[in-house]
Amino acid sequence: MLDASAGPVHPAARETMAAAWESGWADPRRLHAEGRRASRLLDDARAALADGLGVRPQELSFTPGGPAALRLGLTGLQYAARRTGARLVTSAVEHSAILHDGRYAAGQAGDPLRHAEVEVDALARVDLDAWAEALAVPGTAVAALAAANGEVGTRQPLAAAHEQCRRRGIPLMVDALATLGRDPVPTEFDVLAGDARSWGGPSGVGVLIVPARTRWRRDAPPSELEAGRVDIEPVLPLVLGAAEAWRQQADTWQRDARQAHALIERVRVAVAAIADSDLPGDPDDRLPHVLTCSFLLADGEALVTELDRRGFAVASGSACTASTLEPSHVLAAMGALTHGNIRLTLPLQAVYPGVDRSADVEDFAAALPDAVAAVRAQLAGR
Amino acid sequence: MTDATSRTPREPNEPLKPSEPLEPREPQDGAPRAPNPVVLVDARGLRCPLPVLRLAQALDSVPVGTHVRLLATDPAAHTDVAAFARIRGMTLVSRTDEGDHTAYVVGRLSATTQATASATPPRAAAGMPPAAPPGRPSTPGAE
Repeated sequence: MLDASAGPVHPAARETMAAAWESGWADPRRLHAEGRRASRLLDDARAALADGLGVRPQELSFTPGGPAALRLGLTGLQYAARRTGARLVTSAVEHSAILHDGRYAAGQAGDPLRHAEVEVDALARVDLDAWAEALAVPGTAVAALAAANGEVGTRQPLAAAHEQCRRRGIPLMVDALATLGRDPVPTEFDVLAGDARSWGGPSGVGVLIVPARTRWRRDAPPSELEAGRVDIEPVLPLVLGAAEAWRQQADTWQRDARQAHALIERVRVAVAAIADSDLPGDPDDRLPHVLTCSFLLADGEALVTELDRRGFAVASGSACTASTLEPSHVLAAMGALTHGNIRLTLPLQAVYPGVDRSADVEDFAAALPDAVAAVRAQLAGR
Repeated sequence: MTDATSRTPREPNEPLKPSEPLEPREPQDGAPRAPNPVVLVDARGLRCPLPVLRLAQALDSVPVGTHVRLLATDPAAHTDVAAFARIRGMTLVSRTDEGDHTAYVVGRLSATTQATASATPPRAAAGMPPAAPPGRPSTPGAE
């Protein structure tokens, strides 16, 4: 399994969740014993995660997943800054939840200046001069940048980008959907969004961090849930699973990350040895567990299928695999080859206690040249 | 995606007499000869990676100095033709929006543009035996 973008869940978290369906299902707002127990469990989970993320419990809200945290984080910043303007500045390689909403808003307003997508270099790193220029346009209210790109792994210059925002009084939302549990928790942000899947937790749990210093306001009627930031109740067993997964990796993630970094390097070497390959992203200043690569004159869908046949699960950013005409916007923005693309997201070792992740990667690196050759031969006949 | 490609069968690789008056714009080509001969490849309606495949096939079969003019509707070609040229060491002479399709002119400038390893290998890759992951303080498998 080399495509851990949506799981799997840490075994200890699975146990916690199974137990929680028996004892942690009640509405935490009720006054009976079951309700009080649920309330205590929710508080404990929030405290554990807040502690791990270096924030206060009341600054952390649970959302129905990572993309929901991104959307909510952004709309609250925009609403609070509405007197400044409506312009949003992002990089061109942000999460599609951010880009699609930004483009939609700009389209609805008939104002292309409402959303600026700042260009990135061939490594997917945002151009800081262009970033500063985009922030300087009057009416700029909010900015958003990922700590690191979940597709190619490249880390963004967060401290410098945040400093430029701070100088202009523009709040920055940081997308840590691919970062938490894999890389140091970002400290440079005004709002932070995360997804439990990145640290071995279940799908359907996002975290939104809004520090007390940040001007954030919900653009909707008042809510009594999650410090007034969310109007969808967290699913308590899932939240408990997310917190348990966090506890499990809190002491081990650095070792896991060092090993993952070396394993990805191993694959990079194998890819570079294949003729006509494209290996976008920063080789070193990157997430430890992510790699994307493309092979000229190979079909991405066929490559995923061929690797699956050989027992390797990988993802792809090629258009032909996404049932859409458009290839990965990240690859396109970098000028990387978009066809014949595959994407690896290594699981945390702990989520597969019985499987040696290193051996998996070693086998994959050995099988890749053959698989690429087979797929290229298929295509050459067309 | 196979049905999408077979839905619009076209004649690819159809050579054209160099009727298109294209001004060659390669910087290194010092030869003051007539405009480069042009071969037309019509890949309209084909989806990735077929437009680039047709382009590559055409470039393989033409003499050095020839330009190939590729017509494509696939949005992925926008990125991939440029990436193809970069990886193969060829020149993307022009890219023109022509309404319902885009025209790309790619020049074959030298004979040595066949398959080469990645243009940007990781620094540690050169000459490394594949079994040795390069210089990180902690090696895989050590845990």
